[in-house]
Amino acid sequence: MRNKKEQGAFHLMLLPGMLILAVFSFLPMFGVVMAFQNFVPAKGMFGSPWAGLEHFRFMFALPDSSQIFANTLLIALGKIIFHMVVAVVFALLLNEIRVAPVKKAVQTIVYLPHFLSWAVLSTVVINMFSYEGPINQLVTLLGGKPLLFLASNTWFRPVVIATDVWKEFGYNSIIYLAALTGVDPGLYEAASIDGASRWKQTLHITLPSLLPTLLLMSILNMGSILSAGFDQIYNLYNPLVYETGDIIDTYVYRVGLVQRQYSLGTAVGLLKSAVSFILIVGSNTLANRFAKVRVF
Amino acid sequence: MKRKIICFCMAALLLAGCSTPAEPSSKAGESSSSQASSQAAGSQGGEEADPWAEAAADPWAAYPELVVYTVGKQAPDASYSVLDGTEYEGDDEANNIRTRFYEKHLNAKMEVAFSAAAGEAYDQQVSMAIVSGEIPDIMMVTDRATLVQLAENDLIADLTEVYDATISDVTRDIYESYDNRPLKDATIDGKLMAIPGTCIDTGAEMLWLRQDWMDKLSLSAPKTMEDVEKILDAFVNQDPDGNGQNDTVGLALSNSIYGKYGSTVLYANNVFTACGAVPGQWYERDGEVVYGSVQPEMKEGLKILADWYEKGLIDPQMAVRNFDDSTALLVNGQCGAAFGPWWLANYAGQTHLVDANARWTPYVVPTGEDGKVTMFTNNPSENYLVVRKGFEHPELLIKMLNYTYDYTRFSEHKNEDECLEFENPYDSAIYLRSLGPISVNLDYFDAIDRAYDDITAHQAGEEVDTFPWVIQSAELAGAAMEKLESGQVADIGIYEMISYYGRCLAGQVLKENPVNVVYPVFFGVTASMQTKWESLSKLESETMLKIITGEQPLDYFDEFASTWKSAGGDTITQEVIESISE
Repeated sequence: MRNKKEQGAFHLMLLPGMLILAVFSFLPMFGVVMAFQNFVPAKGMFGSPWAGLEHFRFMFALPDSSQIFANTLLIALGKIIFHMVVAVVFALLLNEIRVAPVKKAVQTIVYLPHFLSWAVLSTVVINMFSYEGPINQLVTLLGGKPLLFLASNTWFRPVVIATDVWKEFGYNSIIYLAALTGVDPGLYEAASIDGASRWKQTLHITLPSLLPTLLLMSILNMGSILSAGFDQIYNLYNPLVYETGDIIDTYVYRVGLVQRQYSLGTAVGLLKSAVSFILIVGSNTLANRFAKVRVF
Repeated sequence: MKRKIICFCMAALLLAGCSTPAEPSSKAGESSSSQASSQAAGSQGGEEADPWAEAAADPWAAYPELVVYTVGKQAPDASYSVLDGTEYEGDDEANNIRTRFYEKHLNAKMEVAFSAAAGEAYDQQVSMAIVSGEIPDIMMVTDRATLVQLAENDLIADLTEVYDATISDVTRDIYESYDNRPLKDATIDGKLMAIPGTCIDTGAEMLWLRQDWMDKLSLSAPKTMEDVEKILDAFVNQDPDGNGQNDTVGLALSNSIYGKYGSTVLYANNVFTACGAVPGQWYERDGEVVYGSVQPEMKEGLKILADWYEKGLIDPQMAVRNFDDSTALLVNGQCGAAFGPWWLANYAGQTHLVDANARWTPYVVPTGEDGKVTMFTNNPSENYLVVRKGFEHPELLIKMLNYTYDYTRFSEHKNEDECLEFENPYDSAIYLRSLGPISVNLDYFDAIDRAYDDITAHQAGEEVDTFPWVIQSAELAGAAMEKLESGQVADIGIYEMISYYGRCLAGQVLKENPVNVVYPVFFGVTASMQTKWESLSKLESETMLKIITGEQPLDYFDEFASTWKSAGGDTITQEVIESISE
């Protein structure tokens, strides 16, 4: 009881945040009923006719829905895996640099692309991969034939994943760098006295210390498994690579252009949220059972 | 206790919000109403009859008392702060040259309900207004689907009667130059639900070629498909820019390949129409309404383009280039051939600054079997103005339309200062159609042809009774011609060159080369289109691009056509036919 009284002030400070959460996150959730209606704006949520699962059925009955789902999953999974691997390796390497100005400079430079939008970066990427661009010059130099990467169904996905990793790895490495600074230096000292090499130290001290963060990040990333990056793909794709590059978000965007389909949009959003929710809870349970790490 | 105070304050705020705007404005109106009524015809009758009814029935009369109306409008792309330091400092969206003009003549004052940048931002505002069920008294909508939605939700007024009662002769005449097609388009269930903006005839798309390259390689003017191919081949393989490098691109092409005629540059519409196809349109073929892209004639056009692509005559990177990248090829002198309407001059008119030798010439090619180019027309209405259902003065919109497109442009008043200022507000520093509630354009179907006649007449030294901007174009083009003659190419301004290419050269070839016209019959959205159209158009654009780039053989088209029909195309065709016969 005493405890509660002392914490009263803290709870009061929490109140505005909780209110905002309720107003902007919980209340709008009732809007998901739109996914089960043929929503007509003027009639509102209470007057619109019910449609049952029609929009969900429609989504799966689309002639190319399996292709779109496959594209989304492959691109999103590729991004999640490579984002993590590259960011961790980069954090480890950066952590080894002992000259502070160099470290800071490198860090700043690799953060930069994160702050540019894809609307801008797409032009850079398109030019890099054009016939006259540096990538194709390299290909010709090595004896290959120049290739239109962004018009090739073999190369489109790798290019999308690689450029997104390039854009974000610097920013993503921040959290791993922070985790690395938290490792007890005593452990390294003890290890070097025991004769462990740099590599052995990384393997047996650094990586295990990073494990909780790694698990945490992978669990949280599960939430974005159906979001393969609308901005990027919308700015880079063309009809030739619809086969490998068209994702749920770009498809829904184009459908919405024909006519404002509120209900279909909501149904897609709801499905994405449901899948993400299951994956997050599932991976959290697995992590708790096998690695004794949990997010919530 | 606290709660009560808060409730009271909120209630007070609400009340204040409702009552304030009306009061100060009614005073401002009094002075202007007297001026306006003296100018307005037919309002001398005075007190005997109901002055309100009289004002409502007259195309020009001012209201007896100030009318305040709210508007949903597109915001200007420039900020009003560009006017700082001029005599217009302090003008804004709700109070500017055009709104003051309407207020003076009609005794009606505009208030901005919402304003957003053209495009998605604006359409979202409209959606929001529809969702909330509270739309402004006058609002612009950009597509027919939204118009239908508004009508179905019973949010907008039926304008059939007020249109007939209040429209002025010239305004009616403008619509009639389209055989009233825009008005039919804005009619739902026999009722006129909106005032449509018109989409003028852009004329035929032309093949724009670098004349200096043609002269250098001694190529003669093209006419047929074979002539075009020969020129493209020379442009790609004979080093027309003479820099010793094989770096020129053939035909610049959009990766959509074809589309709305004259609405943008870099489409190959003419290649298809020369083969008898009407790509992407609903039209009558042998008395039957069909979708153009799946008809067998398409194959012939695709065969030609695929052949050109294979031979390297089409920009090999066209699939991955966006619009800006492709048009940059024209401007920077890398590419000397592109299809486009008269205003492709906007790009061609910049090339001489990169390469002083650059000269573009438009050709109305390639011709079909009858020796003519075939074009197709667009949706005659571009956008719509709607009036809220329940608004007391629905005729106000039509009266303002009369003032905007008749009084200031065609009446005897058109050369008065006030009208000149209205027509060219702030010297174009702020987009004129963003100023008032009349954000749609209204012009004669053959406006471009009329302008060309006026320009040539002015250049021949005749006295022409026309718009100031036409005279201005004629003078800009004249300046370009003089400087071309005297060899001062570097001094030719972009606008001078654009006027010369677009208004003179293109205007002339359009006049000299009559074309066949196909009138597509359907532009709307049917019930099945809402769910199936995206899959079909995805299939369509994917197939066309794959056939042209050689990823699929030409015969893949037959497979595409049958998939298209079975995947919903047949159902939609049926719906379109039903919708037309209604």
